[in-house]
Amino acid sequence: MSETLLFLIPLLPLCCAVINMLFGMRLPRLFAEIMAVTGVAGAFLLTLLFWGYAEGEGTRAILFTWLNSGTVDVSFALNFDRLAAPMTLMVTGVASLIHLYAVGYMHEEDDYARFFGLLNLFVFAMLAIILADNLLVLFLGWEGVGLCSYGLIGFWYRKLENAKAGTKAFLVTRVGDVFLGIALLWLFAVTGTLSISEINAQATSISPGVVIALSLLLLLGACGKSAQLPLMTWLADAMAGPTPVSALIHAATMVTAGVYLLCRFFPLVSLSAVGMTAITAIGALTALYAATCAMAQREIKRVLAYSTMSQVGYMFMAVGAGTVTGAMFHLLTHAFFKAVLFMAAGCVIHLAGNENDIYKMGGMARRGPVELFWVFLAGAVCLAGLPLTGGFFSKDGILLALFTHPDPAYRVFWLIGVLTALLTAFYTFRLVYLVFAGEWRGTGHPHAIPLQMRWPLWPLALLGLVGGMLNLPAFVGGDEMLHHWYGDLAGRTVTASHSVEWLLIGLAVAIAALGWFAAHWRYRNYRPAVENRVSLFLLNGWQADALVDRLFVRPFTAMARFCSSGCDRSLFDGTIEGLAKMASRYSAMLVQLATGRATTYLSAFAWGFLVLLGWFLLKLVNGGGH
Amino acid sequence: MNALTSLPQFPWMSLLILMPLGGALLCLLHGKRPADCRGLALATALATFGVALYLFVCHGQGSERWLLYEDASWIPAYGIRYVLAMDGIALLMVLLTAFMQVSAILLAWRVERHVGSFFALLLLLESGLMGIFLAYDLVLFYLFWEVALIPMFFLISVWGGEQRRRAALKFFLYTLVGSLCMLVAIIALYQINGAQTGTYTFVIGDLLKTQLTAAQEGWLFAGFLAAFIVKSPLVPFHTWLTDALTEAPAAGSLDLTGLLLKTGIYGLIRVAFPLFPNATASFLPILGALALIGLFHAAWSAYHQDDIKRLLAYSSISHLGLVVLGLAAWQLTAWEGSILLMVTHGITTGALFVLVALIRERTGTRSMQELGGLWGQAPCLAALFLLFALASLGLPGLANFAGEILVLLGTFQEHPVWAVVALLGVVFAAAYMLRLVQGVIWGPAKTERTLPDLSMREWLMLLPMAILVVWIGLYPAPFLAPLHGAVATLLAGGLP
Amino acid sequence: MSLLDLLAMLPILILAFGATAILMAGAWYREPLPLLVGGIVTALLAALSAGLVSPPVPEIAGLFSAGGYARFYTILWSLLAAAGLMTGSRYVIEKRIGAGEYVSLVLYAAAGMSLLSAAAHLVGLFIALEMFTLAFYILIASNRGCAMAAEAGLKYLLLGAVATGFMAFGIALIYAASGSLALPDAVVLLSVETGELQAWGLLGWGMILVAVGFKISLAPFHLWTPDVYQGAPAPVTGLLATGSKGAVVAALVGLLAMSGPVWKDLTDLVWLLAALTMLAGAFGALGQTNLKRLLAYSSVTHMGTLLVGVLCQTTEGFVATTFYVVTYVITSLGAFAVIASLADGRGEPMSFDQWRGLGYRHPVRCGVLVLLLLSLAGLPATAGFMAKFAVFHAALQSGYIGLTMLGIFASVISFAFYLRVTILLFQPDEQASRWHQGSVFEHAVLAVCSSAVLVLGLFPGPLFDLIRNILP
Repeated sequence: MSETLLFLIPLLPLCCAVINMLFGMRLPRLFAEIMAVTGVAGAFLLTLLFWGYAEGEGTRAILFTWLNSGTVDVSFALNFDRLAAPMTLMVTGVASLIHLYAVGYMHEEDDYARFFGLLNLFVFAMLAIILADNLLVLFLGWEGVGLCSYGLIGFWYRKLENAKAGTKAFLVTRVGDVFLGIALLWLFAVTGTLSISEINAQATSISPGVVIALSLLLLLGACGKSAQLPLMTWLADAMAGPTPVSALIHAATMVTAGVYLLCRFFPLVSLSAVGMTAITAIGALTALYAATCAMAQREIKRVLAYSTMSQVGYMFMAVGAGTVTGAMFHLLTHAFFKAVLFMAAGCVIHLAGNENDIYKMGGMARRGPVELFWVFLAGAVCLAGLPLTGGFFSKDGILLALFTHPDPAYRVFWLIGVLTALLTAFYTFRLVYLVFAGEWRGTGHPHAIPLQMRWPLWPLALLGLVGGMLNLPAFVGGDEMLHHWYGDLAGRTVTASHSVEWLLIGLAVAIAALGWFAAHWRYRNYRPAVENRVSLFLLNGWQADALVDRLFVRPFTAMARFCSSGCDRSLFDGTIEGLAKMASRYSAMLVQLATGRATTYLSAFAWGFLVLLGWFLLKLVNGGGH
Repeated sequence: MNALTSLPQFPWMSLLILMPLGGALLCLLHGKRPADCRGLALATALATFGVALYLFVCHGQGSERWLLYEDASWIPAYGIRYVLAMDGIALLMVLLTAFMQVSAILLAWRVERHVGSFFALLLLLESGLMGIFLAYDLVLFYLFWEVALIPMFFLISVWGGEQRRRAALKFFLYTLVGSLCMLVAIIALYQINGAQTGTYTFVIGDLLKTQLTAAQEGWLFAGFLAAFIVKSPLVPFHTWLTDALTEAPAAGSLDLTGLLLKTGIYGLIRVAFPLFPNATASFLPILGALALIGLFHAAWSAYHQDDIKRLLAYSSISHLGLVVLGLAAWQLTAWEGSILLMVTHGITTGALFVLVALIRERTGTRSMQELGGLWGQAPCLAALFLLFALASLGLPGLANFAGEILVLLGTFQEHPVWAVVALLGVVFAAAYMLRLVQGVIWGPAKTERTLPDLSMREWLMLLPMAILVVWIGLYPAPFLAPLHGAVATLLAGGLP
Repeated sequence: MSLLDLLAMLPILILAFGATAILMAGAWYREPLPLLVGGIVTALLAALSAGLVSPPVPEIAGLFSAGGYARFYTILWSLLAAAGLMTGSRYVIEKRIGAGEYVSLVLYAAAGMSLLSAAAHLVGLFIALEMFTLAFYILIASNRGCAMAAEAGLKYLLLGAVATGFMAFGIALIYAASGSLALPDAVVLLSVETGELQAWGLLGWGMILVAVGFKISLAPFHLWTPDVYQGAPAPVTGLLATGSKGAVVAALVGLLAMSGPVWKDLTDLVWLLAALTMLAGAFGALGQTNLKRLLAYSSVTHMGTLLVGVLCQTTEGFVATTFYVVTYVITSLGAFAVIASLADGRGEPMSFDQWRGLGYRHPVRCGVLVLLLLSLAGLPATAGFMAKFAVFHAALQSGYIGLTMLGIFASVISFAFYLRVTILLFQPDEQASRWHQGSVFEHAVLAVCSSAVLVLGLFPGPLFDLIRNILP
């Protein structure tokens, strides 16, 4: 079959999305739900079916020309290659499970058509990012996921806060998109094409200075979507959306799009040492920042959101350290265990009667179905990086890459990474203890948890636990499958002596254990939280929002007021109306001349004649002159 | 001028101009029977659209020369001729005009007062616009230019809102000052050219050959610019637009933003730039700067508005800033982007104005303070509002993006800084548009009463626009095709 | 005074004798309508004869030319008279004014204007001027019942007398300087350098200019205009605003066209007058709240613009001016005809309060009024635009850029006040009262005027060519 059929992968969810959006409310609910799930599941199966196309150099396909003007020639082209294939598989797979979960989660929601339509549309946009061979098509997906995230965060639009959170997410990510846009324009100006594969091919011919600038721009673009410093403020608020959305968009897929973007342009980005260091630095700082914030959060989903941020920071560090494999490996495992964590959290919230605050929970292990505790724990241990879990191996790979990086500066980043691992273990188990240990402290009445919400957790939890198999390091007898799969796309091959590797492994285990014990000692038995300045500072994410507000939002609104009232109303209109008033004043003066008395008119006559005489005498004098 | 003139052809363009005129007269005559007027007006508009569509399909293939050309003697005493000419750009504008007019008439369906005159004015406006886009003799151009003002003036001053008289006068005088400057420039150019060649003519094609000193060229160019910049409108000559758009009746603001504004930019493309290449070359940087200032100024001002109509007015100014920027870049891609953006902006913003009118009809307010939660009350209406708002903030895959990205790609190659700055404006566009959406369709519902969702007629208005927005967004090729040749020749400074 | 001269004078004679006859008839026969009809027929006959009978001699007794130019205006003024009688008919009948004298006076006035436009001799000019001015004195005050009319008549008489004085003195001076009253010699002789004498001649011209300035109300001699226009009954105002001014301008153009650029010494004076007049008129009109006064000021502006055309002293200028006169006459007459047609027992609608919302009561006539006002403002596709276009074209060609700019400025302001009226007309107002539905005559006049405005606006070519041919 021809490679054009590859377009079925993204188009299937798109069609379901469109149908759901247009006619969803007229269709029977069951049908709509089934269509939504099958749309994504179908894409998953298709990906498996077409797997062969990804091997070797991958497969490019062109649907039709989008824009064509002068030298610009953009066509809907996709590139199903070794980098895209696993990502596609992960996205469609996780998405199908989450869709199934969502069917249960939203079963009381009336406006299901909009929900599933947007969810499917999101999958399409995400696949467009992954498969795009053309930067503009990627941009289309890039904005598309932003839009869906906007629509889904604000899904419960009747509460204005939710709508506001959505708007905030859209705007902050749009700031990142601007930089991506600049990069896009610049790349076109430099290479004369927008095809990603051609750009990567020409990467070496671009002058180094430009490459640095470009990689920094791409980095900033990635920061927006992946909620990295300094564009991270939106992710925590984004938790206002329904839990399946947080699981799919704000944990598993969209937030990792930035990482994928950098991997896509790795041939270009890797050319500038500055860019790579910047990427690592951003990743490291974000990882640490988010981890500290996560330690003080009270809402279960916000804890997970910050942990996501910090895990994505690890992936950035991996890219910066030059190992695409490491980044993608962690991306995949993280997608599994973070999705499971969120979905389990959703069940917990259901059980707690829509209570979000972990200090008002506890005892969930006995309160809810027992397997809920186990799957949550599975996700938690992965996140905390306990030995032999998927998260353990992928994180360890990254730390190893950082440690063995030729540039000594990377040791600092490695240290930050280790520290963050410690914090991660701590806040993960803090979460586990607060939610599941002890007695029920809440007030809400539990909702029933439908079946669709339970069993999608298992496969994901399993994948999270055994995810390490994907890329088991050699020294523990693994075959580094993922690394070999990527081949020349994999970036730097991390090599280190076994002693070093064992050393690091040991360290990682120690760290994880330490974090666990700390949490155990502090939270095994519930003690109410102590509000102090530090905890508040961390709770509010280092006051980032206040800072942004003071630095950008207020000046902007002030500027807006100035432009609209100051310039237009006062200055421009004022001038015009001033002129009009002046005219009417003159006119009034002239009108007064016509007093209606003949004498006035006669005198005017006389004056006129006098002027004439004066002019005449002047003439005479001049005439006399010559 | 070229082969087309010699071979006899059906005067399609005159038909485009005269058909609405005839419809207008009929509407005036049937003023007593509103129903007839509605039918008549709609029929006329549809017929005109049909003709435009036919031309688009059959003559639309972009050639370097005129697609259609009509030439007849008119006022020999001053060498004034009745010359109509159509290239790809004109064709696109004509198509847009005919299309928008149908929606405008459907939108005006509910007008109660003096229905006959209302539709007559709408149709008169249409024929004036057609004339502006097709005229190739300066006096003829000026005639249509002024004639198009009158209907709009009456639409605002009679059927408008609270401030209608002030707004109408402001609109008319503001634009009049500009166009009178243009008139003087036209006459002067005519005399200079006549003195040189001995044959006195107003036909643009012949005036292109005029030899001008730098000073002359500068002054004449300024004269034309006065008319076009005020109409476009570039900051700081834009305040008439916000008032006019806010006060005008729904159909009026639809035409004003969708079509009348475009005449200014079209004038630049068709008249000012070709006639005065050197002055243009030296002026382009200023134009670019003005465009950028306008883009940001309007975007910021828009963010501060509470009246959604006024907000949309500012958004129009902002978009047109981008259009002008593309022209100022003087680059093929940018120009094609600009012209495409003109069309798409006409459709998206026009549709938004339609929706605002519908919302006003239902809720009786245009203030964001009093609106909200529309999604719960009229989902279809809200969904379309969202769609067009997203299109207008330049979401990829929807109409405006196609134009904007071409403008930016083209501009970046000539003036990277301009493009980057303009790109920053995108954030602000998102800011005010999302604020609008948030204020209108999200949030808690402000009124308990359930609002009726879209009626059949309203679907008829909006559905074609929605389809076009998606179509142009994903496959603009048919609309770019007529432009290639025309833009190339214009950039070469030559006549088709 | 040979037979041929009489034949050449045929149209004038028809007007004059017709007028006399009707005057006589009026003395016995009191029924107004037939007299009016008779007058209208006479006027039309005069126009017809002027159009058909080509004069055998170029000049009549050396006083008046009989060329195409003269005949052109004879036709115009005769038709104007007919129109004036038609618009005046209801006024005459309802106000019980002696139809005989009214009709005859109008016809006399027409004869006077025709002669003035044909003047080829300063004496002839003087006679003709006085002839119709006298007629107007009476016509303005013809409604004995109305105090305002009487006052207006008195003002016109007073100032007119002064103007006449200036005129006579000016002519005397010119005679003293040039030794001839015949045009163009009286002018041509001046232009040769004869030292002292020439200066006197210029002074004479200056004084004539003052007189002319009064007749066509140039600033600062324009102040009487609004009062008289307001006071006089609309039909008469229509004649006064159009004919009395048009004829004078026609005479000016005629004699300048005959005698080449004699005003080169007067140029800057005329420049000043034109500029002053345009601005004074425009600003004056801006503040008005009374339609008749507004039209008065607007006519002042138009005279200023006309003067620009005259100032050029080129063929282009004269053609433009003549075309302008024609369009101005048609448009302005139409405007006053609308007012006259609405007049009823309460008098004429004047103040803006009376006009507010009238567009919904009398849509057709108000529509016509809007059209005419827009033509006065100079909107394209109306006659007014072509006229302004021609004048500005001529002015630019003669290098009067400053004046052109002033003219543009003035027309922006004119648009402002004309549009204010149109807004007023279509301003929803419930207590807008109905006025008279107008007579057949008036509607006929309106129909002719409005269609003429459109035709001349869209197809002015033929008229331009005609004017170009007949210029002396």
